[in-house]
Order: sequence, then structure tokens, then C-alpha cells
Amino acid sequence: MRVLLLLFSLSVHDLAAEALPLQEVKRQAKVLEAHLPKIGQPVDDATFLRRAYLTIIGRIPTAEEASAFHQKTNSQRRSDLIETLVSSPGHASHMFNFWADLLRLQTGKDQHGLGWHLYIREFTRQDVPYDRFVREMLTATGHATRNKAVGYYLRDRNMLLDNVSNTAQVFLGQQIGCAQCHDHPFDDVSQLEYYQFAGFSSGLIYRSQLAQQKVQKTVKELLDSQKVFGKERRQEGRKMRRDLRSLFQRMNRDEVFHTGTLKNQLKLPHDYAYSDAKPGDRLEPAVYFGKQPLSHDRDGFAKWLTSSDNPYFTRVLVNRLWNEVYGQPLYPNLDDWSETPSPETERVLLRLEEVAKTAEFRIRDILRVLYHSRLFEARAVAESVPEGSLISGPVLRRMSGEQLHDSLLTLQKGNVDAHENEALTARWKAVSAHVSDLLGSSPEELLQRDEFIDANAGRLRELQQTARKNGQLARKFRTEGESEQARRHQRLAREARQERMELMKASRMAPTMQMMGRNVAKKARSLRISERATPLGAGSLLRRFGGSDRSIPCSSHSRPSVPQLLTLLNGHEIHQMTNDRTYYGSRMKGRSAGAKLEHVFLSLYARKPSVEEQNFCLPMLDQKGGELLLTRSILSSQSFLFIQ
Amino acid sequence: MQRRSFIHYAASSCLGVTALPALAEQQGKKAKARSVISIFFSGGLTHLDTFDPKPEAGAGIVGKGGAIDTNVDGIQIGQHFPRLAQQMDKIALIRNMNSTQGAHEQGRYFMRTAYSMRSNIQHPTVGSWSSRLRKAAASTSLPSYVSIAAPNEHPGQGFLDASHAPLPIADPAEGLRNATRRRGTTEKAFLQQLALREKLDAKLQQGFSANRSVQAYETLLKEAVSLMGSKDLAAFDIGRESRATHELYGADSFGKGALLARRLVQHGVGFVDLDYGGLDWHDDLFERAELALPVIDQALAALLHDLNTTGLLETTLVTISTEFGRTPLINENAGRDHYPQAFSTFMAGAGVKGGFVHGETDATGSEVIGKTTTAGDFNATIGHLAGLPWEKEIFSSTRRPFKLSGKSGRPIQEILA
Repeated sequence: MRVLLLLFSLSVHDLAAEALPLQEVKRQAKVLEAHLPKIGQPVDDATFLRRAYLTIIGRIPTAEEASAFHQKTNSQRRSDLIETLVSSPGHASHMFNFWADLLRLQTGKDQHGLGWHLYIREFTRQDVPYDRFVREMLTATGHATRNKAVGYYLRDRNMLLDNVSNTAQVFLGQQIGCAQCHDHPFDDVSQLEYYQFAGFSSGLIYRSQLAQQKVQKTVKELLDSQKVFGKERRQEGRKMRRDLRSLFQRMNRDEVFHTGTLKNQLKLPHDYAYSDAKPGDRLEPAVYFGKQPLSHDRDGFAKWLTSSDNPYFTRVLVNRLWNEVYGQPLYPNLDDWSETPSPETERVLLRLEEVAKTAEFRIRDILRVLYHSRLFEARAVAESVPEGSLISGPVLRRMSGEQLHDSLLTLQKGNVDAHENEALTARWKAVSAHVSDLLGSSPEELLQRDEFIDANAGRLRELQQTARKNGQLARKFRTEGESEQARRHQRLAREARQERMELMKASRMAPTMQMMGRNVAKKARSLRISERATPLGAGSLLRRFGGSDRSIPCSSHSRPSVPQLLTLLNGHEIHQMTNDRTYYGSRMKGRSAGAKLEHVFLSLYARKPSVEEQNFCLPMLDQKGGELLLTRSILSSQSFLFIQ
Repeated sequence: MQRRSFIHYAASSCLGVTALPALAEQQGKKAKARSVISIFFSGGLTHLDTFDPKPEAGAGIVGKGGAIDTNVDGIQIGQHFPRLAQQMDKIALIRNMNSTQGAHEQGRYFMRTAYSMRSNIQHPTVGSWSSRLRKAAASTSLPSYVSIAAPNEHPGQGFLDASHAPLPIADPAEGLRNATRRRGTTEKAFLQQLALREKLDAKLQQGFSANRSVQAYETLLKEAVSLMGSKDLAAFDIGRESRATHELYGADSFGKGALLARRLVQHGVGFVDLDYGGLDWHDDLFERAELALPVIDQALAALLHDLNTTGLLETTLVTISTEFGRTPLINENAGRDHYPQAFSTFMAGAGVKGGFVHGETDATGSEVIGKTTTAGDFNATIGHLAGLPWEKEIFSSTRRPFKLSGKSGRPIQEILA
């Protein structure tokens, strides 16, 4: 059994070597502390507990979790807590949000968006070394169902230059977007250098080679078997290809491949205006800083970019992680490293680069060093320090939209960190099966499918029309108060939709999922944000509190607004918290006022109430609706919203 | 931080947007439009069946479409717009729109921002530009920029500060969410809740008074509470309109949106975006048009009529725009496909000639004859009418310069009254 387990774990975790031993992590943390001139006094247990939960796993602890920690008296309790949290599913969930924001993940983008979602999820869960993760994405080609990492390029389908600018910004902290169109006005990158830099990724084609080959092969076989030759063969072939291509339309959007043909290589734009080259010139790829890569392709570029010799790759990463843990970056601008860091900052950066190397770029281990350092225990500082100087403790900050959402969810449902969104996995299976089915079909099968679709096209359209018309009529009657008529049309619309779906399923036009019923959406609402298709709608609680819209790298924010305050004061998300159906509310039932108060404080503030707080809160719990009143007061308090 | 700048910060964060009165008050006499209602049709509004009909172009292009006369001699519009036809004397049609973006997302983005979509920067909408370019002066608790029924991908403030984001209203019938006490919460309980919250936060307030965000939340809480009791809140409540007015605008959500837009402008909101979608008619265009266009006709006509009757049209600019037009040649599924080469928009009200047609397309509505109007020109015109410095360059955090008017947009002089 043991051997089996070992084998299994090797096959899953062969990517990541064993995590650093705790002893080594603590040693690294000590060395780091030596580079920090001023570290504030340690905070009390309750503050530490709440900070650790929110920072490491992205939510507040439940009353039970808080109480379990407070019962511990051994001197290792904080360190133990960090280790437990870091290896829990909540940590992967929290870090998923970090990467999804940085990488602009959009789950709903064609099918590859979903694949990439799952790919990033695997990266955070298995703690794949960061350099490997980046290399895999930068060198990825093929269909998303074969290599999910292609999501990185397909995110910017047909926008290679933008993709290159983002690569430079996200992984190297370089702002080179301007040079896409003209010489960079402030920095040293010229347009020529930009094109040389982008040249490594030249020749990428955003469509499916697999589909193209399959269609060609199918047409050839069909023509051969039908013995069509000569002029007729050309004509018939063209028609067949056109027909068959429609079957592959969907799959065509989920692949990127590389071609060496000259015609597809990157050229200088037609309006190139400088004298060092001519419009339309093809350039030899080159990088504008550091040693030149060993090969002139994406492989060489990815190795150069992720090398520990690259002057920016590692420090850009550790600066982002520092910011994630302590609330303020070390080097002031996360995405623009055009200035020289101050000497104090530089020393810490160099140290953290060493940490990253020791950790072999396993993000979890780098973070563990930061969590185990005394700085993480230090009293929070009210304000960010001036650029170039070092903080004495984490900066007080508002919960992110994700932290708030997942905290409220925990109050509602308890610890759901390990719950997976089955719909995502099921859909991905269906997508993969659909592609395999297409590629595995014989020429005759494909022809039949096409004919079936053609034969039913009219009926499909008819059904769509019926559904639409009846839907509209149902809405009309509803607004006019004629509910019986409305219901009748609604039923007709539903029937038409259902028949259409059956027909589509029979034609195998699109991936089909086992119908999971209406519960899917409801279930999704009981999951942490990392398990939801992203981005959420603009009206969602998450977005109201600054959750990322995934349009550009790191677009989440924690700026205040009145709609946020209105939500905290009057929103149903807050109001429903004390009812019997929530995890939090159900545990108040039938308990004494004192026990209730303790439950409320442990659940929301991760601590017991002080004597003074007992004095002014207890009388409240005696009055009708007192639980709700107290809960709402706390949930709209800054002591709840902020992480100390 | 200086106390003064803090107060400004807090005030400008109200409602997530800069709290400012309508445009003209700060811009002096130059501004014709105190307020702007900017209506956007997603999916691609078919120009041939609405604002640029070509009844003589032959069956392959006209299909089941038809044109009707308007209250202005010589101007015809699509057959499904009989009510709007009676408002033509207030409208300047722009029939020479031209874009380079033929895909939905890109097309919408381009028409809203006057910049091509990029994946490393996001550009602001005209509403956010006007919030940014106005001189600051706060006097009302109402936001300067509200979006109604905006889809998820609405670019909002783009690279500008979050304080220039629109206040989103998802459902016009619902109005501003959470702005009133929950049913069952008495005023006494609510005040008790506020008092208790203050006690609970006393320690944090003491320890972290220097934190900008802590202070901003404190101030905004007071703003939110005062808004809850404010008369301004009525601006968001179309339930206060008479039954007759509701009937005028129509029962559809688009009509309700138009009515809310009018209410907001009436109460002094400077910029309102109103979105309506579902116009991507690749098949059965004429059946779909029959169902959808009357809804648009009723709401737009009601809005212009209503603004005119109340005198607001003199100071309110109403614009309609879309992502692109649709192919003149009807396709095999009796629909029309995407067509950015030529399409139509309009402007009406403050500072705009009424009963006027700007630009023209050829006999089949396929190509613009002569000068074209771009998204940049369209936005520059709004900026000009609102008295904004539309040529002013603002730098993004990536240190690139951008303008309200896009790279080279200029106001359309011909339509200015």
C-alpha cells in the first residue's frame, strides 16, 4: 500500500520536488529578517489568526477554527497554523485568484478559456515551479484539449503584439507597449527593438492545424473512394472542404500552431518611420537587455526569460509576492521597473532572489519564508511607507473582493475550501470528447454528420424562431398582467428549446453535457470564487468590491464607493446571514446570550468579546432581532472589512 | 495627507464616481449640453432597416423592409419607426459612420472609446472622460455618470481613476440597489446598528486614523446614510412617474431605461449610458425587426418628446450609436451580417441641428460617399457640445497619451446648430 501510494504521488508530483523542510524555511526567514532594519512588535493571537487566514487562504476562520486556535498554548502554535493553512486547499484557491487577475483569465473565452482555468488551477494546487509554468505557456502550441497551456496565447487571439507587451509587463516588469507603434518616449526601447523582441513568437497561427489536416485527409479519401478525378475533383473537393469545415468551426478557435513559412513571419509595420530599417522588413529576433537567447525561437526566448540570469524575472515575481503578503510592494511599481531600487530595497530584493532559487521557484515555499518571518507577525502599519524605505509590518488593507466574498460564503456554508465546481470539469470533458470524436470519425461518418446538420438546418431555425417568438410574447403578457397567457407561451418556448437541444445533440454539432439541471447555477453560488467561471458580472458583490474584470493585468482594486457601503448597510447578502439556514446563523439557535455573543465574535472577528464589548452587546441580544442587529453592525464595521 | 486633499478624495469617491453637478455649470457658456444621454445598441443595428433605408435598391437589399416619411420633408426612415418619424425635426441623422472593427466585442469597444481594443490597456468611455475632464466642484450627492443595463464588458473608466467609473444600474425598474432600509428594519434599529458599529470601530479608528482608506470608508458611510434619507434618491425611482408616462415609454426594459435616463438628467446627472442589445440578426431579420424595432421606436420617441416638452432637450444631448451596420445584401438565412464600412447613428437636442441629415451612402447603403464619420469624430462632437477639452491629452499609468476624441477625431461641424 505504501509503495503504491508513493508511486502514485510520484506520478502526480514529479513536477515539484519535495517542499522545503520547515527548518530551512525558518532559517531563510531569519536571514531575511536580518535585512529588515525595523520590525514592529508582534500582534496578539487573535489579530495574527485573522491575518493568517485572510492572507494565506483568503477567508476568515469559522468560529470553530478560531476557537481551536485560541485553545492552543504551545509556543509553536503560530508556526503550526501557517503550515496547516499553506497546505490546505484554501491556499491554492486564494493564490488562484492572484494568478487569474495577473494573467487576465476569462473562463468563458471560447473553450480554451476553460482549459486555461483548469491549467492555472493545477499550477496553484500542485505548486508547479513558476519558471516551468511560465516556460510551458510561452512555448505552448497545439489544441487546447491537448495542451491547456495554449490558453496563454489564445487569450490574445490574433493580437500577438499585445500578448508580447503583456509578457514583458507581467513576467519582466517592463512597459514596452508604446514601442509597438513608435519609439518609446521615455524609455530606451525603440520600435525596432520591440519588433526584434516580438520576433521570437513570430509565425504563430491562431487556428486549428489538426482540423485542417483532418478535413484535407477526409476529402482526399472521399474523393478517392468515389473515384472522382480531373477537373471535377477540384471542384467537388472545394465544395466538400467548405461543407466539412463548418463541422470544425468551434474547434478551430481553440488551437494555435507555429509555422516556419516566410509569409507568416512578423514584419515591420507599413508605417515604420525610422531610418534604421524599412517598412515590411523581417527582423532577426533579439532581446534588448541581458544576454541573447541561445536559439531564435520561442523555446530560446522562454529559456532566456525564465533563466535565473535574467535580471528581472525573479525580482518581479518576489516583488509581487511581497506585495501580496504585506500589502505594499518592495519596489514601488509592480509593473514598471524603469528606475533603480533604493539600496535598502535592493538588499532585500537580492535576498529574496536567493530564497526563490533555494525554493526552486515553488511559489508556496517562497511564500512560506515570508509568512514565517517576524514581519508577518508584526503590528500593522497605518500607511504605506515612502518609496524606497522598508515597512515595519504589513500595511493595513481592506479585504479584496474575493476575500470578502469567500468570507461571507464561509459564514453561510462553513469551510467549503475543498469543494470543486463539477460543472467546469464536466464541461471540459465534454469539450475534449467532442474534439476526439470529430478527429476520430471516419470520412463517411463526417459526411453523414454534415448531411444530418444540413437536413435539419431548417427545423433548427424554425425551432429557434418559435422559442424566440413565444419567449417575447410571454414577456409581453407578463408585463400586461396576463399570467395565464404568459405561462402558455413560456411553455411553448421551453418545448421548442428542448426539441432544438435534442436535435443539436443528435447532430453532435457542439459538445454536449449531461444535463445537470437547474442546480448547477445554485451550486456554483456555494463555491469559492476560484471555482467560479470568471469574470463575474459587473453587478455581482465581488465586482462591486473591486473584483477584477480580467481585462488587463491586475485590474482588481479595493477602492471605496457608496454602493459598497449601501450593500453592507442594506444588502440581502448581509441581511440573510442570521437565518437558520446559514452555517453561522444555525449555530446560534437555542444558546444562551453569552454563548451567542462568543459565537458572533469568534465567527466575525476571530476573537472573543472583551469585557467592555460584552457590556454593550449583551443587552442587545436580549431584544428582538438583536442577533441580526449585532451581526449587521459588525459586518458593516471597518474592523471586519479591514485586515490588521 | 493634507486635510483638504482628503476631503476632496472622499467626496470624489462618493458612489464610486465623482460627485458633480451637470456639465455646463463648470464649463461656462461654451457648453450647450449640460447632460448627455448616450444610448448604445449592441449586436449591430441594421442601418438599412432603420436610419438609412434604400427603398429603391432592389429586392435583394430591401427585402421585407420599407421606408416611411417623417415630419421633415425629404427625410425617410425605416417603416418600424413611425413614432420616431414624428420627432425627426429634433434629430441630426449621421449616415456616414465608418469603422474598421467587424467583430462584436472589438466593434463595441471601438465605438465606445474611439480606440482599438488592446489587451494591455483599457480606454475610458466618453462618460468617464467627461467626469475626468470637468473642473471639480461638488454640490450634490448624485453621481455625475450613471450606466443603465451596461453589459459586463462596458469599458467604464478604463485607465482613469476608479472615481470616474459609472455608477451601474443593472435593472432600471429596481433603481439604485440597497439604497433603502430593508423591510422589517425600523429606523430605531438602523440607528442602533450605526451606533454600535461606531463603538466597535473605535479602537481601529484610533490606531489607524492615518490610513486613507479607513478614513474614506468612514466618510462614505456617512454619505451613504445621508443618501438613504436624501431626496436625490428619487432620481433613481421610476416608480414615481405617472402611469401615463410609463405607457408613453413602453413596458419593455429599454423603455424603462430611457425613462430612468430622463429622470436622472432631470435631477442633474451629467452623463447617462443606456444599453440595449439583441440586434445581431444574422437570420430572420425581418421577423425580428418586427418585434424589436417598435420597442426602440416607442422609447426613443417618448424620450425626445418628453425632454422637449419639459424643456430639457435644450440642455440635454441624446445620442444613439451601435457597434456597426449590417450587410446591405440579405444573406441566405434572410438576415444581414456585420458591416462596419457604412452605418448610421444620430444626435439630438442641445446644440444639434434638428431635421438634418449628415453624410450619405451610395444607392445600396454599401459605401459612404465622400467624407466619413469615425468613432473619434462622434465622441469629439459629444465632448465639444458638453464644453469639454476634447483635445486634451491624458497620460495613462503606462505613460501613454490618450484623448477623448481618439487619435484624430474632430467634432462634426455640419450638425452643430
